[in-house]
Amino acid sequence: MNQRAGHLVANHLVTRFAGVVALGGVDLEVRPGEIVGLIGPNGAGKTTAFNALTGFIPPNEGTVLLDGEDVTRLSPAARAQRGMVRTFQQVMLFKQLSVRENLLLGRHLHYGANPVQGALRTRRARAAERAAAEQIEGIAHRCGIAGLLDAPAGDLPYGTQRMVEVARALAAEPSVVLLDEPGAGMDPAESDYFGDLLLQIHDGAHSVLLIEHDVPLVLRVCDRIYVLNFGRLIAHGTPDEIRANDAVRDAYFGSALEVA
Amino acid sequence: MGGITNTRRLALVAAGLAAAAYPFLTSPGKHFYGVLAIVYSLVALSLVVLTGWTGQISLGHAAFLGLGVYTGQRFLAGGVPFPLVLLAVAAVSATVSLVLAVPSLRLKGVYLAIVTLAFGAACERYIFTFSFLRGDGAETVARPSFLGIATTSDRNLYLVALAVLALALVLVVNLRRSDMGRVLLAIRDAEDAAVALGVNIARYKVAAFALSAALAGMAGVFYAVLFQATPAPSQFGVLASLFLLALPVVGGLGHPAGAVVGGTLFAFAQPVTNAFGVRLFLVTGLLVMLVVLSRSDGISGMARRLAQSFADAVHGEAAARYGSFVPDADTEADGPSATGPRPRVTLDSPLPAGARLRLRVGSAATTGGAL
Repeated sequence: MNQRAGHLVANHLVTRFAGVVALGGVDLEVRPGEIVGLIGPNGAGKTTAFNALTGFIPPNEGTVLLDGEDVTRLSPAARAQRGMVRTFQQVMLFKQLSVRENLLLGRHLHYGANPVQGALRTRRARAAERAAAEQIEGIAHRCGIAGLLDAPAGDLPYGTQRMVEVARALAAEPSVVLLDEPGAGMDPAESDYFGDLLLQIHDGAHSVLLIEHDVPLVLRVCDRIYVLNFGRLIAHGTPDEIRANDAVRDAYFGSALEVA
Repeated sequence: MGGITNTRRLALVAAGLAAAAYPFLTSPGKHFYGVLAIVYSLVALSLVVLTGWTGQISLGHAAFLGLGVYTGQRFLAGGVPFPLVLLAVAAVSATVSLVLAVPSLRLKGVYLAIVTLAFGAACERYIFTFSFLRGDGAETVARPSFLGIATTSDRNLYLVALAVLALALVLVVNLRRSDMGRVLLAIRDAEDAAVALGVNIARYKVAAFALSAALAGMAGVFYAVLFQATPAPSQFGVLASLFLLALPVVGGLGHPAGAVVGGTLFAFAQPVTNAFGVRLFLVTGLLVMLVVLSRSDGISGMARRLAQSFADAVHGEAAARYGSFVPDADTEADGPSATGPRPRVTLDSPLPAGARLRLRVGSAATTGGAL
């Protein structure tokens, strides 16, 4: 349904906070259909990069191109309308709504009726509601949360809330989806299963940029990986290249790579 | 879930029948409070949309009630038919709300509360004293017929007002079940997440405020018609706004039913408090405190919670509420034994892939170990 390719290019992103350089000229690219990892120690600037890419905190310098269009000055909502959807480092569910309503909100941009039609519950509004409900049933099934649709989102275990947030982002039919530590708060079994789901759901349908501390997960699912430290890219390559990179090892992994 | 839905439907039908039968079962002297209850319910409903759903606070809602009173009187005196007066006043209130909302709702946080507070004070002291709005003091308000129904008796006025309230409730409940209703609650729960899904926040906040103002203005028309006179501007000051805000807080901010519960409670509390020689404001304050301490969504929220506990007790608790997205075999959903024995790890042994170390400070594991 989404005709956009999901080609995200960032050129020389610079973000400064009161003189502190959080991003010192970062270039990265997510090609259509890829899963790209963005890793680095705490405070390396990963979430700042997400904020720059999605427009929540626009960069001081640099440009963001989405499918060739310069979106650097667009609002986050306008970028979402162009197919770029993100999740957050801290889970941001609509906690008092059910899982179903959370996912339905993912369909906001695709909803086929306006508020007046909604208030009058016209034929068109009922059709829009039915269509949205069907769409999210499918997504809920693929994400393993079909049995939880009626649960209040805020009551769910943390790892499952993470999954609901991812499912909600996917419900928006993004061309590029930016996931900020989706595996944080998942137990090992959940994280493992999440990796499978990510590959399964993804299936080349959209591009993914993934921030994640769970290194084995990143090495397993990503096509390419960027490594960030102190606001600069220190390495970039395939999982195997990253695994073998000494600079990365020193800056970040320690011995974590050996167990992966 | 089915049990709850049926109970809810039954409660709804019973409440509707009781409301319709009310003026036929009580003496004419009581009908006045019935209309007042509807006026309060409409205002409370307007605040459910604005405060309960969108999370924005208005400290000047009495000003919209007053605006409805004064402009309603003008339209009625000019011979405009009653139903059209309601629509015209709704339009005027919504337009005024845009003037306040467009600058303040583009920002996050408490700006609307501040702007509406100033608006309420300005209306009370200044705007409502304009003679083109207020006339030359206490104007009398006629009671025109509504689509052929004479409203000279309080009973008929009650029935007309009840029909309007019912219509407003249906529209608001429909809205809640559509995309816009979800968006408003999403803005309240996590504004950034809504933005990330492409929601144009400012537009929805402004629309919610306009709808809220329109409902409060329409309540004002019935208020004027009920009293058959325009009250002094001091009736629509900041204290009155706080009182109006208390209606849905006590009744339940999150749900249209709470508006009706709160509106009805406070309309009928007036004669009761008078009989005991207590000020209604004092009772209001106490009730607000009790509700806040109860951690429920007002009286209607308590009722919903009770009904939920009852359903859980009868049908068994929905396991779904605590489930995981991982299929059962991989989780602890069936109790800890389902995962089998956990691997024993010592401090020297290498971590298994993907494993995380959890330290419980102060437990036997850390205090008794080599650490």
